[in-house]
Formats: sequence, C-alpha cells, structure tokens
Amino acid sequence: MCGIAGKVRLTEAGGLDPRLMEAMLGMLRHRGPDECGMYVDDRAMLGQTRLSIIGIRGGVQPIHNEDETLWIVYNGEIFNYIELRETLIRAGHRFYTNTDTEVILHLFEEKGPACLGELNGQFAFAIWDSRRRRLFIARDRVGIRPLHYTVRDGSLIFASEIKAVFADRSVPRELDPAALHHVFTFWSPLPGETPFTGVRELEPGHYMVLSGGRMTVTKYWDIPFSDNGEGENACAGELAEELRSLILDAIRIRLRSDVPVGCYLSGGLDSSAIASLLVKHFDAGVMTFGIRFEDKRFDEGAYQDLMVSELGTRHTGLEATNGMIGEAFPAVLWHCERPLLRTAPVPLFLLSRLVHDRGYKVVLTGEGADEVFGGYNIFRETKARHFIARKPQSPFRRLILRKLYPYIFTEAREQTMMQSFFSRDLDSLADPLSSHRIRWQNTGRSRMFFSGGLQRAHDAGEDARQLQSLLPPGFETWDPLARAQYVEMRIFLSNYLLSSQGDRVAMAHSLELRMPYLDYRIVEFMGRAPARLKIRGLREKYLMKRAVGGDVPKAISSRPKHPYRAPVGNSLLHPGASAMIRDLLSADALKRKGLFDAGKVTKLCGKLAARPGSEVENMAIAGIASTQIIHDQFITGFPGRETSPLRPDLLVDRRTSPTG
Amino acid sequence: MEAGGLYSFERVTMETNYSTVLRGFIVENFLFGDDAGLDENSSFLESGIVDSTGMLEIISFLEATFHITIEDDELIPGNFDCLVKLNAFLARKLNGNPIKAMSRKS
Repeated sequence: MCGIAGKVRLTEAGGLDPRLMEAMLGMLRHRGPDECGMYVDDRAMLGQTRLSIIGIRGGVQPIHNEDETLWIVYNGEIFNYIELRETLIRAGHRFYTNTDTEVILHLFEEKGPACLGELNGQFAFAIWDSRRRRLFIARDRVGIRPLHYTVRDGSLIFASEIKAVFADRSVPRELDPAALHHVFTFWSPLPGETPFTGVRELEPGHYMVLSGGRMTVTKYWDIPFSDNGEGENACAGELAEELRSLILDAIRIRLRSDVPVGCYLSGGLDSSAIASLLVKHFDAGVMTFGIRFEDKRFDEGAYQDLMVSELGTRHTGLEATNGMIGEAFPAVLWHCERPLLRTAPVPLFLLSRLVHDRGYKVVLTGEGADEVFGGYNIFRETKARHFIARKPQSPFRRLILRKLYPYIFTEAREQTMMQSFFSRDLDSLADPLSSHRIRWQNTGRSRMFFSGGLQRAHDAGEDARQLQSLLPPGFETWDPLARAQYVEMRIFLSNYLLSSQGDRVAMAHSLELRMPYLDYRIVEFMGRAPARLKIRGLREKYLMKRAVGGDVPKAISSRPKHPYRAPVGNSLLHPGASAMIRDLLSADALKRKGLFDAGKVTKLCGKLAARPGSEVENMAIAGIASTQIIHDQFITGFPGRETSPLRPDLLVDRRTSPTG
Repeated sequence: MEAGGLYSFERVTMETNYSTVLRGFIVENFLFGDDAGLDENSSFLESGIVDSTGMLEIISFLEATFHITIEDDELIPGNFDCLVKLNAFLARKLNGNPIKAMSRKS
C-alpha cells in the first residue's frame, strides 16, 4: 500500500521541478515509509511512496514496461495478480519484478482501459505513456483507495491525499461552501467533491485519460443493482452456498502477501465471520485486534472475548477512552482531510497505531458487509415504512417499529411518540430517495449553526439536481431495498466509511486494510440476489447469515445489531481533549473564521457540557469542531503538521534539459 | 359578562405567562437563541426541531418546572407536537392554576 502523486502538463512542455515532487512525497510518507521513487520528463512527473507488501525487494516504483515507454505509479493490491501474470507471460510479456504493479502495467499494454475489468483489487494508479504523451489514471470499483486532482496553470496535479496536491503552493486553498452544506446534510461531500474548492476526487469505478490537452473521465463500473427480475425465484439454500464459496475465495486471495496478515475483530457478526473462516480454513495462528470503549454504551468487549476464546486467536484489544478520542481528533482530521460529524474514525486511528507497533502492515476487516448484504437499520426502516404505508391506519402494522428499534423503544413512555416520528412522511415513499430523506433532514438541522455568510453561500435547491444526477437509469424501477442500498453505497461508502473509517485512519500508521466483503464478485452477486433474501421479514443480512452465520457462536449471529459508534460530546469536551478543540470553539476563533454563529455554538457547547444532547447536537459539535480544525490545518496554517521533503531512492530523469 | 370578562383576562395572562416560558425553553434549548421560523403551530417532529432525546428533555422540563407528573398515555404527539398543543396540554394539566405551580419553583 502506498501513496502516489503526479503533475502532468496539459499542452506545453517544461517547468516540472523534482523538488516539488519531493515536497509532495513528503506529505505521503506515512502511506509508504519503506521506499520512494520518481519519474520526470518534459511533460510528466510521477512519484510514489511505498509500503512494501508484495515483491518486497526490487519493487521500487515507478515501474516500466519492456521498452520503457510506459511508467506506472500505483497504490493498492491486485489480489488476482498471480493468475493474470501467468496469462501475460504466456502472451510474451517479460517481467523484471515480482510485484502486482508490473502486472497492471503489462495488462494495460495489452488491453488499454479494458484491463480494469480484469483487476480484482483495491487500487488507484497512474500510467504515463511517454511516447504518446498520454496519462491514464484509474480507481478501484468501490473506492477503497483514494485519488484527488486539480488543474492549475496548464497542469493536472494529482495525489492520493489532498495535502500532497496542496504541497504545490500555486494551488489555491479554500473551503467549498457547497461541500460543507453537503457534509452537514449527507455526512460526507457528494461523489466527486472534496471540502476544498477546485479539488476533485476521481470517483470510484472511474478512470481518466489526459491526452492532447483534453481530460476525459469515464465510468467503467457501477454498483450492479437491477429491477430484480433475475434471481427472484432462486433457492435460498443454493444462493447461500454460492455466497459462502465466494466469501471463502475472497478471503483466500486477500491473504496473498509477503508479510503476515492480521485480522480486525470487533465482536460483531461481520468481522467475527471473517476471523472464524480465516482460522478454520487458512491460518489458525492469526493475530486479531479489536477496539474497546471506556464508555460501556459503545463497548462490544464481551462479544470480542467470546470470539477470541472460541477461536483461540492471539488477540490485542485497545481501550479507547473519551479523553484519548478528544486528544487524537485533530491528528485524525489531518489524515481524513474533511469535516466529520462523528468521532468513530478516531478509535480506528488509535487501533492502526497499535497494529503498526506490533509489526503488522496488513489486516482483513469486515467493512462493507452492511452495505452489500443489507445490514443497516435504514434498510429495515425502509422496508417497515413501506409495510406500514400499505395500510397506514393499522395500529398492528405500527408495532413493527418496536421490533425495528428495540433499543429506542425501551423507554415505554415514548412509544407512541416514536411511532409517530418514524411513520411521518409515509405519503412520500414514491420519492425514489425516500429511504434517506429523514436522515438527511435531521442531519441538515445541524446547519442552523452556520454563520449567515455560509448559509447564503449555497443554494440548497442545487442539491436536488446533484442527487438526481447520481442515480442510474431505471433506478425508480428497483425495489426499495436496492434503491436504499445504492444511495447508501454511492454517497456514503467510499466517501466516508472506506475513507475516514478506512484508508485514511489505517494509512496514517502505514497499515493496509483488505475487505473481503467488497470483492466485486460478492458485490455483483448480491446485486442480483432478490430483496426478500437480503432482509427476510426484518431479519437483516439473511442470506449472509445463511452463508456464514453457522461459523460463529449463536450469541454472535443472533445478537441485535450494534452500530459501531464512538462518544462525541463527552470526548470532544473532555478535559483531556486536545486544546486545539477548545481554542477553535472559542467565540473569538469562531468569529475570526466566520463559518459558524458564535452565539449559537457557545450555547451548544454549554448544553453539551451539562447534558448528553441529541444526536443532531452531537453531530453538530463534531462537525463544527472538525471544520474549524480543517480550516486551521489546511487553509490558514497549512501544513498543519510537521512535514519535510522526501528524497527519492529511485530517480528516473528523462528531461531534455535539467531545467526542463 | 363582567365576571366572564375578568376570567378571560386572567386566563390570558396566565397562559401568556407559561407560553412565554415554553417558547423560551424551546428557542433557547433547541434553536440556540434563534426563533426565526418558529411558528406556534410548527410541528416539532416534522420540522425536526425536536427528536426523541429532545422529547425527553421537554417532558423532564415540564415535570420539573410545573411540578406535574405526565402519565404514559399522555405522551402522544397530540399533546406535545407544537407550541399551541403544549400550551393547551399544560393548561389542562395545571387546571387553571399555573402561577401557583410556577411560584413553587422559586
């Protein structure tokens, strides 16, 4: 796993300075502390920092093809590289390394952009064709690895992380009001956006070609739902069997590595099933890692213990205290590069540090299972609301909500009120985005803390158009569950879960995550599976449980879903929290940056210091504190952390004159 | 007529008294001082001003401020979902004697 960066001239030649690349690579050192390399000619400059996992010796990048006309920098893993390599060798390609990097390059030589259809992995890479002066950049199907870019002064500048783009001081740095509105509504910027004006992300499942001064971006893959005609009559037992073998194979190829592979174990079904299959079929001595919480409302330690004693793994747990979460929040934001409405990324950042300290570079995780198999409450809620809407006056139908939210309805007094809350807007179910409207409306309340200037800087009416443009043709005809899954995956999966709770917080400590459930074969299989087998009645992840539920104790497979979350107000306002939070939430700092209403925020802080506050209030305080910190680290005080240029171990200089 | 008029006047004063307190609580606690757009008839739940935790806060506030006990079967949106409904509920609950109830607080 690695970091990549580049600067490519759109039309004119010259002006590329290797010292800029050294500064860019310095920003990506944490992603690849083992080696780094650079290629520069009159029109393109590529760099890479490497975390060596496959083909440890001799894998320094950029890597070239046989005649040194193609050069690649690459961040990621191709899990089926062994099979691809054999085919390429048979086709006459000669390899000079044992890396998967070189496999991509020759496959691209062979097939062009169509090579992407054959890669099973998690990646972002750039290939420079020095003869045709053409750049090809691509990102994996679901967006596990990041890639950002901007165009400035006739050059395309790209990198794994935005901080490396900003290492080019000619790139203007300012927060994008529209993206802030989106974060405070959808929990993340919308696809393609970043929090910074003019800086874009290459979307998951897309590639870009830069040639003759023209930049074209093409979608090569999308989350494959359909109107569910296919597979409607499929037999649950057969599908579960097929899914089980896919999951096993997804794990098997994700163990390909020249360094040991560990496994995250939370105590939930998803990671427990992976750990269990890993121990039974591949590696009985695997090392597992898990998070515990000081605040017991968030803790799953008892289930973790149960799994560890069941499997006999060597396990290390990290206890995240409220103070630790508040203390590490600014460091996490430096890595996540976006405002956060929650603190859940922080314990994962602390865990990756511990894993790194134990000498591990790679772990398997259960990420993606809820999206792919239908595990989130928002999916069950969608189903329940459609069920109620068919006969809205039936008090019996409304009782289903108690089953849906047992932990909310424990307060018997509130039941009528809550049922009314969840049954609102039943007449709006025809709206194709109805599954997420309530969540967005609730979260959007947090914008009440925006300053007048920020309120006015974005027209919320624009959002409807932008959301509509994200939906694929035929979306309206899909079943409500598939629609909800698509929206969740398209807006939230890559942009938040795989980024702020995935790549960024793991790579902060040079740790690579591998996610078997996001193997594209599983995603495509589940896209074809009928809705009734994803969630049966209100039993979430039904097919997945049929496939692998038997591999974990019943106490795990049948426990009520426990969403992974971390304390917010209690952490950020904790006495042990970073002083930066306190300083930036002061009325002075709020007024100086002008993004939030200082009076309201001060009242909010007072309320949260005295009481737990509502979910929206907790999201708001996280969002406000993180926006203030991001502004400090990336706009006014960039770079907000100490960085230094990185001298390359390999420098390929093909400039016609040293000054370019 | 005169007696009736006097009764109405007192009633209005008393209701204004606690409706001001209620409005103040909602504005301060859920809108952080900004009462723009808070209509007497705005549904708390539909507008999102108050969520489930917020409902608990309102209930605790009412019980503590007005020294009343709210029964489970009274916890319906018809009693709590906007300022008008809250006022009406409180008026019924206090049985026309809010001042005594409030003065006990101090």
